Amino acid sequence: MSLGYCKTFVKEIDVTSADTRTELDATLPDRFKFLGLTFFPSRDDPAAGLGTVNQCKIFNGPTSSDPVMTFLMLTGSINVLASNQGNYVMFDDTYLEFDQGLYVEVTNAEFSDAGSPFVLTLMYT
Amino acid sequence: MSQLYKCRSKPIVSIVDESTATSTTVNETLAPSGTRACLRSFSGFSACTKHENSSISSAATSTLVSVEFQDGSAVTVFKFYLPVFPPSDIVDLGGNGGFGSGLHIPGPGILFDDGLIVKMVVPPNPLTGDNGGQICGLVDVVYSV
Repeated sequence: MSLGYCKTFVKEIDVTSADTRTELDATLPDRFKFLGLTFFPSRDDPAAGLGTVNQCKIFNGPTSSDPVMTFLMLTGSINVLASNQGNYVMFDDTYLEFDQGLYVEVTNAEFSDAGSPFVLTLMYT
Repeated sequence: MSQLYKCRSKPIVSIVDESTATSTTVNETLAPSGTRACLRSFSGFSACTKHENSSISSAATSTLVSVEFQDGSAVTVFKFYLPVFPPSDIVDLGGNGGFGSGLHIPGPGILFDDGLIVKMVVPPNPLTGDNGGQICGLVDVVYSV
């Protein structure tokens, strides 16, 4: 038994609502083996709340209670690109099972807009 | 032929507001005493959100976010301090990197044969203004049961 080649799914999205789950893409299968994920919020706006810890959360499905992964995002007092990228890569012979689709939720929507989207790459099989 | 292991994950987050005079402790039980779990990998950060906040600093280990993996009897099996994810500089440019997929446990992992508890302690965050803002600790833990 082998994991085989790693598939990828690239998505650029404008997350427009805070604390609201967004399905990564309806064409992505609900059931897959999660091998890793990178994300990059390409916008950093002080409206995102200087002094506040913001998070990007990854969920299995639209209603599950706990996130699968959580990443930090911090904003600055001026609107510049900040190094808020995050990633998690599963090791060796391990995977996380998704069976209800991958959903993304952020605690503040000011980390993306139409011209500066969230860029996510999912690694799966 | 190799075996594939379906794992579970658990993000453990503790966000501490400014004007908090005492440390904050989170104990998350991933496997209760009497049950087995295997720790496979984890990543983690701490963060301060204002550039003059020194609540998380190298002044002492008590001003760092600590994480311990304990067995069901609260015996520490693994301990580390989280690297900080700070605002870049005096004009608060935003988050400043850090590491993602952190530590890969060698081989098949660390076996916890009598429970697995994650204990995270975030230091006091007593000040306000540019010395304030929220601070936090975060670990994403991947394990199997």
